[in-house]
Amino acid sequence: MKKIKKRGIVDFQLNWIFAIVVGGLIVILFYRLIAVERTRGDISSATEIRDEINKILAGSGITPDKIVTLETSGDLELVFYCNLEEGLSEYYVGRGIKTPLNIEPVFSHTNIKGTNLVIQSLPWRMPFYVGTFLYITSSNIQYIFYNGTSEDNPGFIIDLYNKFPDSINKRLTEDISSLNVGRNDKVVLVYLEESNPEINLNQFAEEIRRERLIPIQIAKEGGAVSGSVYYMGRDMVPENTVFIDFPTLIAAIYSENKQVYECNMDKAIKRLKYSAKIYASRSEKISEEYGLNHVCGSTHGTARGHFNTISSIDNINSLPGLSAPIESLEGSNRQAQRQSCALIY
Amino acid sequence: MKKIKKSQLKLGESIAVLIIFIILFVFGLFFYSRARMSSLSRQDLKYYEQQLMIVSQRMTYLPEIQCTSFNHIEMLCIDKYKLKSFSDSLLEDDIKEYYSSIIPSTEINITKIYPVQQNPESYIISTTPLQPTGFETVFIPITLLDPINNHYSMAMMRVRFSS
Repeated sequence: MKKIKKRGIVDFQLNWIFAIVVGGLIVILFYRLIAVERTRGDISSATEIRDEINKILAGSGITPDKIVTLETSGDLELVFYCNLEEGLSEYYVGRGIKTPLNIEPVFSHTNIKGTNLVIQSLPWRMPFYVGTFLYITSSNIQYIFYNGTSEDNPGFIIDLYNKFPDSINKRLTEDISSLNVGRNDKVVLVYLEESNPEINLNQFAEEIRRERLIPIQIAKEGGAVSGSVYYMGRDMVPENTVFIDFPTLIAAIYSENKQVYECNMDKAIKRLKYSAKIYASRSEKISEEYGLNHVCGSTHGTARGHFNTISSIDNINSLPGLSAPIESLEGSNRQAQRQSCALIY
Repeated sequence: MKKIKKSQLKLGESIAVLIIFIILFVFGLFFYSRARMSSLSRQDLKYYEQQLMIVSQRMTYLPEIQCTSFNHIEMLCIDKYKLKSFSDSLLEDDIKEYYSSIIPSTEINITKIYPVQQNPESYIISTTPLQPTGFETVFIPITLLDPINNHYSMAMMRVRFSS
């Protein structure tokens, strides 16, 4: 009697162990399959976005002046990372699909989320075509351009506003008393230095501290499109950097902060430096071919000197110093055309 | 001969079912991983072809060698003097390192094909030495400009890209 009972217990336990093991395996299998499919779905839409951005990056040489709008699921996040000290620049789409951005200057906020991604590209000319700037933003980031009562730079803010595509979340205003971050992730407030007295940033101190409002103050130098940009940090201490033309100013506005702007500008400056070296070498060769006594040889010889000045640039702080050689190069190119010489650029 | 007990028989039966199940499970995993591997290698090939096209496109539209006239870009046209200067600049390590990020593992050969010459002009640009095998080649017809005489020639750009 006792024996039969024991045998029953063994049978009973074994069946249960068997059921638990097989059931467990089946549950794990389905769990894994669901997880894999879910990840694959995310990766698929992330890959589509990444491929689109890569296509735009690859094609930026063909059509440098372009605006592209991409629709996303809204909860897909893009992370753009650029650190000058680490020498690392890359972006992630969704769950960590990393793509390096070692060469391409891409100006954006670090984290971008939204149903509409807007990618704008503009050529950067110094005065020769150096490369393309890529700007990325989303419908969740609003750009407010404050057109104050500035008499020094009338129409400048309107000009700047018009350079941003209509597809982005932008607004031109003459009254910021009702400014509200609202449902936007972030609001970028752009205004001229002269409008400073009209803007009381203290009323937005909390939003600035939470980095939901990013005030960007533009200090223009004279009539040219160059000067400084001041980012108001979360501790209400301004950090300044420089711009030399509209593409660099637009880049500063699209960048989340000084660090992002300067990190990407460093890539652009490296390209400028090497391009100028190549142009200097070309002008030297052309000058030798014409002969130094030839009028065209002399024009190219002069241009070579300007290219060498541009190629000596080290960092963004030297950028304002390039205005003079840029202007001279433009003059030399016109002169080369008048003299029926090979053009300089 | 020892008599096999009924419980032993049942135990053996259960173990056999378990072993068969494990074998089937392992087979399933094996075929699944094989299918995944084949799909991944197809993706690899697609990625490799994409990279080749990207590198060819980058090289064709590289501002440093393109023909320009007051920043107006001429499509599929390469300035002979820019090309020579670019090729010379690549002798400098920092410049070579920089451009090897734009056109990695690539060797570009541009040869003039028309007007026909006995020893046609040829330019080689290489950012990284290629292995003798394991590369893909793309040929792109271009025009080569001599800016001094404002003379255009037909040329063939051969892009060899190694994975």
